[in-house]
Amino acid sequence: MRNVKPLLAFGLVLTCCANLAAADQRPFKTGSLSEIVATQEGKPFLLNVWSLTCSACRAEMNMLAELRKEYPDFSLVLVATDDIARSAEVQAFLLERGLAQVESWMFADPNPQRLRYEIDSGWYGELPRSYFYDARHERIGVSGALKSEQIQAWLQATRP
Amino acid sequence: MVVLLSLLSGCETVATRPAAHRGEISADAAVAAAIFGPGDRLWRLIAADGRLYVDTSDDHGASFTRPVPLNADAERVLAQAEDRPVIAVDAQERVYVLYAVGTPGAATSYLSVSNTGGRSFQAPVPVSDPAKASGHTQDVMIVARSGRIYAFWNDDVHMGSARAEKQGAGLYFATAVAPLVARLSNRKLTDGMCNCCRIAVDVGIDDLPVVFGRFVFPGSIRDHGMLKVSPAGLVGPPWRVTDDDWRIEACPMHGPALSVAPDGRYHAAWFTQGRRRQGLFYAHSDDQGKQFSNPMAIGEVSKLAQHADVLAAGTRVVLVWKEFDGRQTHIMSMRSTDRGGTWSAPSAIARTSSDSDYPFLIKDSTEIFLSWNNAEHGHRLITIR
Repeated sequence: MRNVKPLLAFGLVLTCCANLAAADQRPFKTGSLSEIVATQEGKPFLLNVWSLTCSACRAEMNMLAELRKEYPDFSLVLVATDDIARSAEVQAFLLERGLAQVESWMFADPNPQRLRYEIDSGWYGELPRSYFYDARHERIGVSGALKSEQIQAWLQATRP
Repeated sequence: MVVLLSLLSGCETVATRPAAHRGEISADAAVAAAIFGPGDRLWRLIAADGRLYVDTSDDHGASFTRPVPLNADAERVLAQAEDRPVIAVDAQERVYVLYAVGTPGAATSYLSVSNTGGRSFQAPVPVSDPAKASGHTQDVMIVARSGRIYAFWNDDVHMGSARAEKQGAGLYFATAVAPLVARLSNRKLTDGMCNCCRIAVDVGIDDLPVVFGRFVFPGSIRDHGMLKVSPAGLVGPPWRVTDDDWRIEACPMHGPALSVAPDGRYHAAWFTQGRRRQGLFYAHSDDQGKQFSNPMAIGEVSKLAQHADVLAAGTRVVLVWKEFDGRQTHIMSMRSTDRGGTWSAPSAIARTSSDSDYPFLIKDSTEIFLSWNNAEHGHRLITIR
């Protein structure tokens, strides 16, 4: 569900700050998940689905930022369910947490239900939603904020 | 939800000709809420580019009045799935609109009143203190038969968003009898409300509101509870209603629905992914919500049955919900003519391949209608028989 357009002045403020960010937000469309998975071929990775409007996600993002300091090679892919029209806000949010370099996608389809279904046909849209992919790309889906220890245990287990 | 404004239809055919008012309201507009008032007049609350408008129809949506603006300037009005503006109309056609404005650091609920039958609205006044989170207030409002209005919202003003996330937010309320003379004072009713799920409210046969919402019970269990309110505040403590055991530290973004029938029976619908049961469920209660019938599963889990609404009128009860088959969204319906005792088989009453809003049920003096927005057809009103 898309928000009504944010106040113009608010958008401008964030746009100015977002210019400092390195990576752009990538549009998540039909086929994007296959693209992500193909790029990660043979490697374990964590796919984290989140939203600006989800307070549990925002808290979780702070934890992910901390964890990446400890494990810089930890392979993380972010997908925001906010429409790509809000890319400046997402960019600013990630930049603030030192996550601007993380591969980050945003929903870019007039019908977000279609994208949710493509990610997981059994997922009702609750957030945050995470998928632990192993090296063979078998995955386990988890709803709710992850614990740092949970990810560390997975990192240990999937290390070659 | 962003849809083109289009005209309503009084029956199951759809009118999709361009709305007459599109030149005045941005095309990026959505009907956020619709309700019938006295004389079966249909009232719609429209969100467009951060402004809110109200229009009416005396012919079940065949034609509409010119939309009247509520807020003078564009604001960041929260108008999305679980978090939306609400409109209420009393027997004297006083109109009340409750809505929230989110800024990066706060969310505040405002009330705007029309004492002129919707021809003009008073400047909106804040009814809440600014919450610390930028989203999520879940405004709901109802007018009792006495004409007293009750407004409810979630708020983290006393605890901060981080604690609200873990332990649940506060449920606040404000109440007044028309005509409103001073700024409303607000009061906290309870803690522990899930801060991302819409709240359901209806008025019981004693003319007091009953609130049905998702709570955060100890251990991050996000099941449902109920509470009853009088003008003085809580009537007894809130009590637990569902025992699905949904342990989740996340935003379910999936609030329940409640309708109190004229005979006093409570009809409830809710969603869970709990350990005990998963999916959409319906149950009713004859003792003011203390005990409910065995939960009846609604819809197909394989089609992500979700976002149910329930409405009782006389001995009739209607349920609607959304399903998605991988390509299309269907609005499904089940109907009961014996107070929710037995139900028809589910049937699809509307569908779209576009983005779509939740389905809502509204009633006039004789019929129950589905009120539904989708990007393909705009806002539709469909009679449910």
